[in-house]
Amino acid sequence: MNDETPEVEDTAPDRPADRGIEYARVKSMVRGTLFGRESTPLRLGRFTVLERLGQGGMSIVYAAYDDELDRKVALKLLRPEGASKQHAPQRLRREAQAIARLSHPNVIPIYEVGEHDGQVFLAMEFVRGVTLRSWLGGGPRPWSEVSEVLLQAARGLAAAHRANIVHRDFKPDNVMVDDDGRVRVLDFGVAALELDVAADTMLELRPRDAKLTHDGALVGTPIYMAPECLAREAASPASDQFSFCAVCFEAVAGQRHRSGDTLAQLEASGKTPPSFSSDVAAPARVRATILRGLEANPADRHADMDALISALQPRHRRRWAVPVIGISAATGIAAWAVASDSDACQTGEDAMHDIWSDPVKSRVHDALVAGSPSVSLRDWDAATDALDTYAGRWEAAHAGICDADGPDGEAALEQALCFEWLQGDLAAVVTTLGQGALLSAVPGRVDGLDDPEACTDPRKVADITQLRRRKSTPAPDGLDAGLLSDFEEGPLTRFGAGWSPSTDVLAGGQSICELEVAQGGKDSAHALRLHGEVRGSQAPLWSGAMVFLGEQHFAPANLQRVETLSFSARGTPGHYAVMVFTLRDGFTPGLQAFELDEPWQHIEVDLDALAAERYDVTGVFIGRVQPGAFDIRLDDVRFDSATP
Amino acid sequence: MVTTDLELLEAWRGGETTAGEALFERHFDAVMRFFRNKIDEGSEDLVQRTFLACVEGKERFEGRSSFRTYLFAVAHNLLRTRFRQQHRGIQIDFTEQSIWDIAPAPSTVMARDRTQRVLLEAMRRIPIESQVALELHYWEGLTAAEIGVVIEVPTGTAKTRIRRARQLLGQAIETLAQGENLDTSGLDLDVWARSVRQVLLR
Repeated sequence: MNDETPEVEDTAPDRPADRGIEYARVKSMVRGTLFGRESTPLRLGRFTVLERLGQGGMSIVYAAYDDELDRKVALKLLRPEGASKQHAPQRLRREAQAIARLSHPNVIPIYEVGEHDGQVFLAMEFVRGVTLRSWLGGGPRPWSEVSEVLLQAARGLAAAHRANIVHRDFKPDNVMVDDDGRVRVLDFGVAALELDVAADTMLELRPRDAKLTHDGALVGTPIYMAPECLAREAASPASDQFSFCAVCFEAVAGQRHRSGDTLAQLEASGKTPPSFSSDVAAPARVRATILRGLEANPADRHADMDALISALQPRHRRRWAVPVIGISAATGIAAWAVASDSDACQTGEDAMHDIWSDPVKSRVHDALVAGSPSVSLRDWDAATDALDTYAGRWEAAHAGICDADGPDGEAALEQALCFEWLQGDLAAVVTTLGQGALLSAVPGRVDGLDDPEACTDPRKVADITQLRRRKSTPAPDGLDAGLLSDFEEGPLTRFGAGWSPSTDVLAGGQSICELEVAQGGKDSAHALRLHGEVRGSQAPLWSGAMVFLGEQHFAPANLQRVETLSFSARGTPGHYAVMVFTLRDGFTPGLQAFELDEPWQHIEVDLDALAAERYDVTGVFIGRVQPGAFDIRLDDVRFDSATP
Repeated sequence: MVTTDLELLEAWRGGETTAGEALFERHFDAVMRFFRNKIDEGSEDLVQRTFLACVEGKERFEGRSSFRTYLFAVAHNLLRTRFRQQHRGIQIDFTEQSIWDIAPAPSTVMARDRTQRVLLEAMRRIPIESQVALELHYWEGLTAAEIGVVIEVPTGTAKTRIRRARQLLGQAIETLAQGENLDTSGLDLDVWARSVRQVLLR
């Protein structure tokens, strides 16, 4: 045997510190398989170690069984040695105690901090699920779903901050999404310890599956760390907020908020503020919220996680499915939604997306410019520049009304309406493009629009809304003003007591509309009348009135069906429409158009045909789809008030 | 009286489990070390197969080299098979491509400090054959002749390959250390490389 082994300690017993638990586990397992013997299960205190769940350069995580409490746990073992080894258990215990006191549905519970042969371990709740990184990597998901998961994680962080616990290493790998969709943030105390052990190095902060490309890159990037932490300043709730927003950015944009693999590259790229590309799915309000959390200066970020959460929270439980009627139809929906809910952030932004955004631009481009050599590209550029700029100014000013310290109640409503008016004006300009208006006229038209900033100034808001209201006051020519006096004047947006359906004006594009309401009976709204004029040379422009049920009209619990609906109309001959909103599969409007050629022709609406199998009708729109003056009388609207 | 590896192996092949266990105890660490910085998931399976291949005699052991060398040669073959299985469709040239080239992921070895980590990561950035040769050289003390047996080249060629591997490692270290602002100028590569051996079994 010529075994020349120069290092004799190969077969000599090793010092325990040199052999970790992972070593013991593998050895016992292999020995068991090779020699057909039941391998002695590896035990850490009262825990029986099962399979390995994951491993990084700093720690290993095992599934384990708690024999005493008869439950499965996750055991996280920290590396056996480190600068602060002596302090590790005490520190971890303190952290774990703080976490244990916390008890929040979005924070993973730590059961115990233990030590085994000099190796510190943490026993945590065993979560059946995936990390946020895998969850996000599992294919494109709708923004609503992503937003819900991120918000849960944010609530976990917020709860920790309230208990004076800073996470210090928030990243997608430290968030678990379980099989039921519940989110838990992990590794609060551990992060602190690991960072401490890592001392002056970023090397240890290595997301296991970091996308590394450069040969010079040793680390998985500390991409989620706040700049002040990269500069070795102490972590704080504000730095956690930064990390959280870095994760949000990645979730929304599908890429990281800054580039670089090494510390130097990261610091360099961090000097440029991050920005989203225009094709990102999240609403502008969300994008602005995320970017604010990514401000380099902690003082410029949100006040705390709670402020961030309220800014991030969706304004409505469901999103609008805007019918394919046209640009100004979208405005109509938005106008109605704002006035009905007084919460304009989300809907306003969504509406702007439909009025003027890159997708709209490319549609208009396809229709007008592509294949039309006579269209001047310079005119196109000037027109789109003007529209882009105005939309941008509108969005910037509008973002202000999403702030928590904006006006309340009536004032907020007025302000929201002001933004809607201006949005409608912009939509009208866009619409004229479809109607053959000259591109070269667009910059001038946009120039003539009111400055969106005005909507942030209460005095100017009053001017703008006054002006619009006055415009819509006189009855259009050709209508018998005398008839209007047949109806008792009522509030514009509310019916009386009882089942209280509310009504609203949908004013799209250049249309003007006035709604008159008379008190209806307990279960019907038979005396509703509206008149106005739809301007413009062609469809699709429509205006009308909305009738729906109470304030919570889209909450399934408040579901009431529209049973019968009929109306009469007069005015310029043309098309009228009835649209029925249903709840069954979200918010799906069904549309039925009628042509009326006789004044006060009575129309019974076939609701069954409209709602088809989605017969949970909760709202009705009735209005005009073609230009012209109108005067509509709701003859009968009856709701199924028996439904709870 | 000390029983040699060969005697233990023969006894194990003859059905004596205790002999097998003794052999396993002697060489488990070396085999685990062999796979530790190369396979991140499922190295236990390869450790087990290495011993199984020995006892089943699937790979011929001619007794000309030591049992240890034979064990590493078996492990090396299993390693290459694993890589080919894991990366089907990719033509892997083990003398050209590194683990990093095939699957860029950081090492899961729990290093004690930055210099150790730089070395572990650098090892994964040199061609796999060079990594095998150098790790055996530094961590197991194999001679050029023995390394030649493992990577299946004549001793002279093995010597050249080890020299070349050392240069490549030096370059990889330089690149990594630069990216991390780590000054490695005062470190003796041979001493440094050997010192890392102790963290592989944690």
